[in-house]
Order: sequence, then structure tokens, then C-alpha cells
Amino acid sequence: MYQNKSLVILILLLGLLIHKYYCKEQTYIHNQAKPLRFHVAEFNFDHVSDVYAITLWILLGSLAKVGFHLSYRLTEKFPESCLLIILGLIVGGLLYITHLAEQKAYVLNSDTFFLFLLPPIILEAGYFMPNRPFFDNLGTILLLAIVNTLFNTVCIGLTIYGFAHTPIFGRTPFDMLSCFVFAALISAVDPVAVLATFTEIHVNDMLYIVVFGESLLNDAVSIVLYRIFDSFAKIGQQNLILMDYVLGALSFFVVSLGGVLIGIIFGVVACFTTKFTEHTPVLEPLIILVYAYLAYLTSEMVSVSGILAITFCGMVMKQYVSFNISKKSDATTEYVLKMLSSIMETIIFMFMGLSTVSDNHSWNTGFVLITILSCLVFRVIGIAIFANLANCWRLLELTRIDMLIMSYGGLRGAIAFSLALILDETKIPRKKEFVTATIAVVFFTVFIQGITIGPLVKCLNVRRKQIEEPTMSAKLTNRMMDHVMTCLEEISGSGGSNSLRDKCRNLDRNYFKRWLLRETPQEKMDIKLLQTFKKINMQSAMKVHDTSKGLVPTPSSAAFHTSTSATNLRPSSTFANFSQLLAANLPEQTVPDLMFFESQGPDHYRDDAQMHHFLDTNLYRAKPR
Amino acid sequence: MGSNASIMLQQEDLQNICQQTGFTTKQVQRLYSRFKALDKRDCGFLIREDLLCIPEVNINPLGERLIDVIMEDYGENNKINFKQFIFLLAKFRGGKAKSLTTEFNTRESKLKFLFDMYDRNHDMKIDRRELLDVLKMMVGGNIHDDQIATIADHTIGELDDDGDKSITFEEFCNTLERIDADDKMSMKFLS
Repeated sequence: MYQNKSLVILILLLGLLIHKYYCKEQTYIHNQAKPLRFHVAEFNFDHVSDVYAITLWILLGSLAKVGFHLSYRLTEKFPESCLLIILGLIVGGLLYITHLAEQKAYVLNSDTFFLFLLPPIILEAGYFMPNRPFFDNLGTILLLAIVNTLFNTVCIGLTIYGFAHTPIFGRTPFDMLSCFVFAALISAVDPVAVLATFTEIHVNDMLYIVVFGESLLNDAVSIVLYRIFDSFAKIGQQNLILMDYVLGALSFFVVSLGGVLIGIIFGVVACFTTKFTEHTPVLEPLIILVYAYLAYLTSEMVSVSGILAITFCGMVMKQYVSFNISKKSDATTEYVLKMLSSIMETIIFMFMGLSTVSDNHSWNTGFVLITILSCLVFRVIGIAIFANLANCWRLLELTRIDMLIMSYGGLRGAIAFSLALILDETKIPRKKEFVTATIAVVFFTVFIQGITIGPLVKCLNVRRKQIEEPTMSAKLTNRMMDHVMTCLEEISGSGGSNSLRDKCRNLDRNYFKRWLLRETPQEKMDIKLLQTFKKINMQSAMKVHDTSKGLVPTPSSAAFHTSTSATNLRPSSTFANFSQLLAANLPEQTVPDLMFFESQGPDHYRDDAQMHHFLDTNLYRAKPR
Repeated sequence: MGSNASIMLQQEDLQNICQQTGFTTKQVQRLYSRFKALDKRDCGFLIREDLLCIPEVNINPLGERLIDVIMEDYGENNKINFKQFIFLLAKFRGGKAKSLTTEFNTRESKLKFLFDMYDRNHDMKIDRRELLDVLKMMVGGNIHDDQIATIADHTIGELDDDGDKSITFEEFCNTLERIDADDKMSMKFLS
């Protein structure tokens, strides 16, 4: 562990040296006027300076992560995001002291953030979003994302404006529109922070999806509100007319629905493209990523919600593209997305730490305190009201503990910070206070709430996600329950047989699947069946041939049945036979999914894992309810 | 449609059912309309063919087994009337809060229903034969009998505590401790 820390420090020093040399190098060239001679090799830092710095950053962040995870004590107590911010603070401090921080490249640039750093994270979230829980809880998520965010904005805005008249803020004037702009950017829960924290505490799927879904979908609301108040501030409070208000309200629908539509369109086009990529499987991951990124950029271009666009693009692609592309491309896409999002997350948190150490601050104790308090208080109140409202129609009620975790998980993060940085100081004179307060809130939520939410979850015995591999019987019974419940819902008519859902399902089956998939799942199964059948025949023929020479014990039916009766006494022989049978049936080009690799243990568990995998792939899927 | 249903269902009956099962009157009336819609020959009870007519049930891998369970355990002589129908469905009413649980939709009764799906000879034990039957129904076509047999044996091995190669109800419940059977087996009843 100490070696790694010294490694990190070494890298830091190296980086600093390079920057110092870079500054020196420039002056060196100007002062000398040497006669020209041939140089075998030149030190040409100019050429690579920017890219070098970025790459060094990425390396630094990754090494830091590696270092953190080596120390179990650290990772148990602190979420990764905290450690990365601290690292950013340290580097920022160093750069500040050595006066290199004047160069603008070392502050979080909002354009960089919104165009490069944010999209991969959101895409990964959308692509891996578990669809069933998401749509089951969609009502709750929408209610929270839209109404709760509005509620929070209004309350926080009014509170701050109210307190602005009192001497707590030290007599600096805050006008109403500025307060509301600030409230708009600070009240939205941040998906990056939620993702970083919740993935480490492993709460159950439903709770996770409610908080995370809320943080994704509230982007539309917070963008609209931010833009409305920002534009109103630009127009000037005196010049506003009724039309401006109406258009503001209308823009909400345009932004959210526009984003969703753009996302779905790009997703569908991507699926259609993958229909033809059978001969160029190498391009498949690229196609997926490019289309998703285009969706994001297009929405940003027409100023609708890019986050919504890329989320829905990812969700749509997941449904259809996974049927079309080869298994290898599927695994590759998964890995590339995870890698990109991990890098971007690291960079974001480090940059946040780095940007904190600068001169652009104006600390106003009263303001910061009031902000933090009102964020906390109104979050709790908002969740209490709206979760209880949602319980009226929910099947699985949200308990008090769920509500506590939901309020506690309302973390603010880099999005709020970036939005604060791009405020126009001429129109919003209090920008520096806002930036400081935003950083304070972000630090408070990420550090204090992030660190304590883990122990809180354990202490309150919140239902955790099942990480262990379920037993065979559990799997079977799970699947059986799904089938039984689907059937019963049909019998009792409570699935709403003539409803929207059925119409969507039919539409999907008859039109979308035919247009977008290379071959319908039905045909695919038949082809697979034929292949497997041929293989089984071939293999048993081979085995008969071999046994006649006494080389391989035959797995033919008679011999096998006698050995299965002795199963419980000699498990090893069963597994050996089973592996052989499995090997006979796996098609040749199989690349097992990533989870399969992860579940490989020592040898005698390997067959167990194979059996599980085999069962998983062969059980009939239950229809989504 | 709504008013017709309430005329044919006597008021005391309605109250009785609501009290015993915990449904609201609107839910019961809606289920009654559904019952009448399924009862195509309009004779006041459902038979196997009525239930098999529902397309979802037909293509469901466990559809036939489910109808077996319904007809044998909850109806009689291959017929099921409305009262039996609604007592069956009452089992699946969601209800974690104490106020909503009646004797019907306890966790035990939900698990017992699942157990009955396996155990058709009602000897309170799932033996290898019964497990194999259900497995065969749930698994795709191109599976070797030997492979299914191995899976069945492995499952029994996991669950069987006393070594008699069959699974009793207690052993069954023990395994499902970790799964949220209660939540999964609850249905939303519209009113």
C-alpha cells in the first residue's frame, strides 16, 4: 500500500516537473539565437502538451483508484467519489501554491463537462437500466422527478429570497430572479453522484431505481427552470410580459418530450443499422456508441434535454440491438461503456476537487448555511409528501425507512456545479456566492451524506440487493412464480387485457421486431435447435465410436441412469458427466457473457456454475407483467 | 354491465365475501364481471375449457398445470363457481400491512399454492417424479432427459435436509426465505 502511495506521489511530481519545464522551455527559446545545426532528437513539449496533460490526468485518476481499492479499510469507510475529490483538492492545492493554476485548463470547463464527460456516464446508465423495475415504478419516478423538483425549486428560491431581506446574508442584495436561478440549479438531484454512491451500498433494486430514475428524469425540469430563470434574468425583470411566462411553461413539454423523441428516433435508427452489420461485426460497438452520442449532441443543439435523449436511446437500443449483434460485440459494448463511464466519473470528481482551489470564491457564511439547511429540509418534506401520495396507487408501498433513504440519497453533484460556473456574472451579480455555495452543498452531500449512508443502510436493515448466486431451487421457483402470476393476472383480468400495454406488445411483436431484428427470435431458436440436434448426434456417434475402444465412459442413457441414482454419494462423477454433456451441446462460437466469467471459481465449483448457466439459458422466459 | 353484476350478486353475499377476503366491493364486482365474461355458456361456473380459451394461459408453459391446480383444489368435479373463484384470487391480494391480511393471503398460503403446483398427489412431499414433470414443462425443447434429471437431482440435493430424496413443505419454505415470495406473488386488483 505504501508503495502505491509513493507511486502516486511520484506521478504527481513528474507532472509538476513537466509543467515547470514547459514554462521554462518557452522562455528558453525566446532568449537564445543559436546558429542552426542538425538535432538528433529534440525535446518538443509544445507538440503534445495538452494531450499529455489530459492523459496524465486519466492515468493519475486510475492509479489513484487502484491504490484505493487495495486498501480494504479505506473503501469500506469512504465512497470512491470522496477519495477522488480529496485527490483533486490535493493536486489543486499543489498547483495553486506553485502558481500554475492561472492557466484555465485546470478548472472544470462547462463545455468539456457537458459535451465529453457527462454523456458516457448517462449512456451507461440508460443502457443497463433494468427495464422492468423502471417501468413498474415509472409513475412514482415521474411524480418525484417533476413535481418534487418543482416543489424544491420554489421553496428553496422563496426561502433564500426571504432570508435575503434579513441581515443574515450580510447586507449583500440578492434579487429575486437570481435566487430562483440558483434554486433551480441546486435543487436537482445529480445522477452521477447518486450512481457513484448507490452502487457501493447495494440497496434493493426498487429503491435504487426510484432515486436514480428521479435523478435522470429531473434533468428536463431543472434545465427548463434554469433556462427560464436565466433568460428572464437576461431580459431583465422589468421587461417580462405574460408571453414569456407562457412560453416558459410550454418549453417544459418541448424540452422533455423532444429529448425523449430524439432519443427514441436515434435508437430505432441504430437498431435498423445493426440489421445489416452481419459481415462487419467489428463496427457494431462503434455504431451503438456513435448513434447514442449523436442523439445527445443533436438534443443539445436544439436545446432540449440531452440526458433524456441519451437515456432513452440506450434503453431502446438495449431491447433490439442485443438480438442483432454478435455475442462478442455485446460483451465489447458492455465493457467499453463501463470503462468510459468509469474514466469520466473519475475525471469529474477530481476536477471538482481541483476547481475548488481557486480565487473565484466569495464565502458568505449565512448564505451557505441557509442553502444547505433548506436543501436538506425541503428534500425531506418533499419526499414525505410525494412518496405518501405515490403510495396511494403503488402495489409495493414505500415504507418510512425507504423514504428516509430516498431523502438521504438526494445528492447534488457536478451538474449543479457546472451550471453555476456558466452563469453570466453581468446579469447575475451574485455569481461568486452561488459558486461557493454550490461547492459547499456538493461537498456536504457527497462527503457527509455519502459517507454515512452506508452505515445508515446497514443499521436500518434496508433490504439489500441479492449479490449471492441464488440456488437452483430458488431460480426455478422464481421462474415458476413469474409464470404463475402472469397466468393468474390474465385469468383475473387485472392485467388490463385490452389495455395500452397489450397494444404495445402486439405492435412490438408484429412491426418493430420484424423491421428491426435480423431474424425473429422464433427463427433463431429453430436454427439453434437444428444445430444442437446435429451436434448431439455427432457427439454421441463419436462417443460410441470411442467407447468401443474403451477410451471414454459412455454417457448413453442406460449407464447414465445408474450413475444418477448414486448422485448423492458420488457428486464428482455426476459433474464430470454433466460437463461432457454440456460440452457436447454448446455451440462453437459461444462467448459467454461477462457474468459467466466472473462466476468461475475453483474447479469443482466450475461445473456448478456451468449447470446454473445452462439452466438460465434454457428456462422459458416469463412474459413481462 | 356494472349494475347487472350487482343485481345478480346478492348484497349479503357481497358483504360476506368482502369481509372474508378483504376485497373492496368494487373489486368484487369487477371480478364478478370478469367471471361472467369467461363463463361463455352462461351457466354460473367455469370449466377447464373456459380457462384454456384465454390465449395467455394457453401459451404459458405452466398454464395447464395451473388449471389442474385450480380445478382440483379449488373447484369440484371440474367446475369452479364464483365463490371458489374469488377465494382463489383472494390468496394473491397484496397486503403487507397488518390491516390488509386476512386468513387467505398470508405468506404461508401463497407458498402452499406454489407447493401444490408441484405436489399433485397431495402427499405433502415433492418427489423426484413431480419435480421432473414441472422442470420438463418449464424448460425448452432441445434438452436431453439426462440433463433435466441431473438438474432435478441437484435441486433435491439442495433442498432436502433429511435425506429422504423428497422435499417437504418446511424444507420448501426454508429455501424461499431469501426470495421475496410475498411481494412476487401479489397481484394488483383494479377496482
